[in-house]
Amino acid sequence: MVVVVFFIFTLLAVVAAAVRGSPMWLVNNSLYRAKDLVPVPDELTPAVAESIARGSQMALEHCQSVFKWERWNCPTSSFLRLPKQDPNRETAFAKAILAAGVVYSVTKDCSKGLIPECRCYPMPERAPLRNRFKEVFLLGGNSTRNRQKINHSTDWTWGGCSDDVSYALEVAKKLFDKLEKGLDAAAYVGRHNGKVGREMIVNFVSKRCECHGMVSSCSMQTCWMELGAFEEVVMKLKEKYRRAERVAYEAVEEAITLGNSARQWDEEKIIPVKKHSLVYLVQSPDYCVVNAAEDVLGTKGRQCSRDASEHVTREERKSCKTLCRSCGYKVRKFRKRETRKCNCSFTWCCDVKCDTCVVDLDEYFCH
Amino acid sequence: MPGTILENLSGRKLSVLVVILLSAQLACFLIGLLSPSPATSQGILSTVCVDDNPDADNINRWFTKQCKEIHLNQEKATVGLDAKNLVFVVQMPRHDILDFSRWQQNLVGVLQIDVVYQVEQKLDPIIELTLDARLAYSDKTSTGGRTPWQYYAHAEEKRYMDCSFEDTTIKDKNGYPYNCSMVPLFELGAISHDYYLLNLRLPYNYTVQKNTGLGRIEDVYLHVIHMNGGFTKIWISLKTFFFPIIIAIMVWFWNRVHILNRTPALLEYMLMGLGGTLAFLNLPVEYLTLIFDMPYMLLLSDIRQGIFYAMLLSFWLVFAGEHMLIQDNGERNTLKMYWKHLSTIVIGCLCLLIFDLCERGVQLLNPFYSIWVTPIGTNLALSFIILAGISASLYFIFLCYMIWRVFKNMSIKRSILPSMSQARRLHYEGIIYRFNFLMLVTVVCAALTVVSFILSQVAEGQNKWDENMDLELTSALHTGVYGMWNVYICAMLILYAPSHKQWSADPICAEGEEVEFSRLPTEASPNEISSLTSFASKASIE
Repeated sequence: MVVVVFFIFTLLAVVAAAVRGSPMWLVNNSLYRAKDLVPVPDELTPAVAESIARGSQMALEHCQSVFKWERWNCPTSSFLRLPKQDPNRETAFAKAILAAGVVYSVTKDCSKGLIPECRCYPMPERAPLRNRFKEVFLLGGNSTRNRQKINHSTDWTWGGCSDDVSYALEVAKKLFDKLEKGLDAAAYVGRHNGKVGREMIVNFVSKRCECHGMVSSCSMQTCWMELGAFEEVVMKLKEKYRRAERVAYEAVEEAITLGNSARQWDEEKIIPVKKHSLVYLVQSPDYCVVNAAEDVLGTKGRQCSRDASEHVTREERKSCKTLCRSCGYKVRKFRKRETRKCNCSFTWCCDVKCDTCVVDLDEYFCH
Repeated sequence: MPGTILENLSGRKLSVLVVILLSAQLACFLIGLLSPSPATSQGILSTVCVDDNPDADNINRWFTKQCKEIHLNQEKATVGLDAKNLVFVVQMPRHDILDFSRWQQNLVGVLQIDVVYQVEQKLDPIIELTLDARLAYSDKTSTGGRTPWQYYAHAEEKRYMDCSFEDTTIKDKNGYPYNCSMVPLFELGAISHDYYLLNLRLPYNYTVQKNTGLGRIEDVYLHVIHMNGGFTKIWISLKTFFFPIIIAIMVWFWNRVHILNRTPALLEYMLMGLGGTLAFLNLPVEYLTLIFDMPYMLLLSDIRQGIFYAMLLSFWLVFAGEHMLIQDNGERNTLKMYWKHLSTIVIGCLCLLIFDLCERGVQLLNPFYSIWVTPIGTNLALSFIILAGISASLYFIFLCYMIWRVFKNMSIKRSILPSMSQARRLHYEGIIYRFNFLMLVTVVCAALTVVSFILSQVAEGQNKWDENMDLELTSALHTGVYGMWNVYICAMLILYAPSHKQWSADPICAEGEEVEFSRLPTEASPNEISSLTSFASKASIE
């Protein structure tokens, strides 16, 4: 039942967003019309927009998975209206994970060759001296007239196209600049949190090298950057969520007015907190009770867990307390008999052989 | 008596020469700064295609990116499929708009297989992989289209992959990726086509233990490494620049030796040999790769470098040996005297050559071949490399011992110097100083090579990604070192060429001092290359 409600809600939100033309980037692939729905910055193509959609979908799934046992469980609805959401702690996290998801997805689609824009990045203007030389070397000095002729193809032959996250970072930045435009405190904070999310991907980028020199030695070595696991990025972001810093509206507004003469978009200089912290402006609502205005569904009826086995996270172990008891609800136990797969063995590629076991399960709900 | 130019060159001329050589060196380094990095890699995420008819026996059946695609992270999509149904497709280069150029020289492919953790699945730390890999090529047509994919190579190869799960703090590991090592896949010595296509299968067979230890794969990346056209251009230009210069210097050197009307000394032969190997190394045969298909270029350039380094190492040995300052007999030195020392170089180089032939040589026939995958091959490769290492250390022990003896002898001779007249003493001190200077240059060159190697490792090895990394140091280090050895050998050839100046014309002798040198055995043995060694002989007679 809840699923159906969610689905209808999602559908409505999609339609509503489409009609209003407001920011809307989470979409099921089937519903998805990239250009119409997402205010994708003009210079980004449908391929990029689609990648953005996939990234936000992934961000949402991960968000829901890590917040499964907490009062705020990353509901789809709040993800949908993210820019309109109050700038509280949870919104800060959602924005960061969204930015990270977009960077991750665009980078991956780049390496699949799906996005033509990132075929040769960084762009030539990033390395002025060497490009000037290249023009002279390739085109015999008459470079001003021929500058237009330098295209991706010559760049590629000349210096290759190393693939890193630069293009994806730029896409995510453009997206956030578009979604969080404006010079008010909330927009600044939104952009800042997006930046924290982007940087988190960069923090987990690692280097791999391969030697291919003389007699296969390391006299010649080529390295490339590799994305870290998104799961790890999410874990780190959740840590940041716990340590998020609250700033007063006034403090940000004041800083903006001070820096406004230069129309600074660089939120990092504006927000008077640590550069890499998540930032929020308002206290989170009470997630225990239903609050339609804040789009809070309450924890009544939510499932909690009393699984005490070793691989269970702290949040899950304490979930009945956080979700039910400290919200003033009672925990109700349902005994359930369930057949499930067990003792599975996996053989490459696609064969999972399992036994079926019948287990008696205790399920707990807040009531 | 004959001396070398080094001793007879005036300080001013010497400094002019040094300045010219140093500026050539600097120019080599600077031109490297303008070059892109030597090689680039491109990580390509494979497309997973479904092969509905896996038993079809047609080698020219190719899967491209436009196939029936599935995603391995969606479990439902793979239900009912077999390992032989899955084809990992990689099109190179990654984007259709780009194509390979012959300037990019060679192509190395490395696989990265992302295996994810599954509950209740235990993975061995070392996984044996069986890869069925096929390569196809295609070319641009004049009308802007592409030729159909053509078979290039096919092999079923074994590889090993180390997988570990590092972070033990994670509670819910399901879906987390393992940390797996890279798997080298192929090496193409020449890029003679515009596009390449890899179709990779990971067949499963329990009875012959194919891929039985493999876990759930989420992604397969192929990292293709190719040389950069810009770097190749600058590299070839350097070679084209140095080749005629080294040839000219060699001709001049040989002329000077022949004018003297005596048989050339051993060190002069060695210098000629050194120049010759350098000229061979500098010979810009890379131009030919732009026209012809030369897959053996990797092997050839290994051999060329190997010969050059072998010659350089031998030269140092002989150089130290010929300056031992103890040759009191007038006998002609030959290479035979150095057979013990030189055999370390020969053995070491032969080992590396055989190893290289086993790896890159066989790769000419099968680009997927690797010597490291079978236990015998691994042992063979390791024993060759260890043998080469032992020879190298033996060589360095010999060399260090000889240099130590040279310096010891020199300090003994230096103690005799005060007993000579002032002018002569100053003159010999000058010779020893210049000899030491050249020894110093050798040490500095070797040290710089090591330092630049370490620097390039450090520059590449820095683990963080930096957006503003604009300065490309690796190329500069490569061109710098290359230029340095060219300059070094040019300097050796110039400074160690026989001088025309005779002692009689020397103002020192005109001052009416004892003309000891005219009675020295050096006159009878014109093979002595420098008057430093004649000085030594004289001293030993004393």
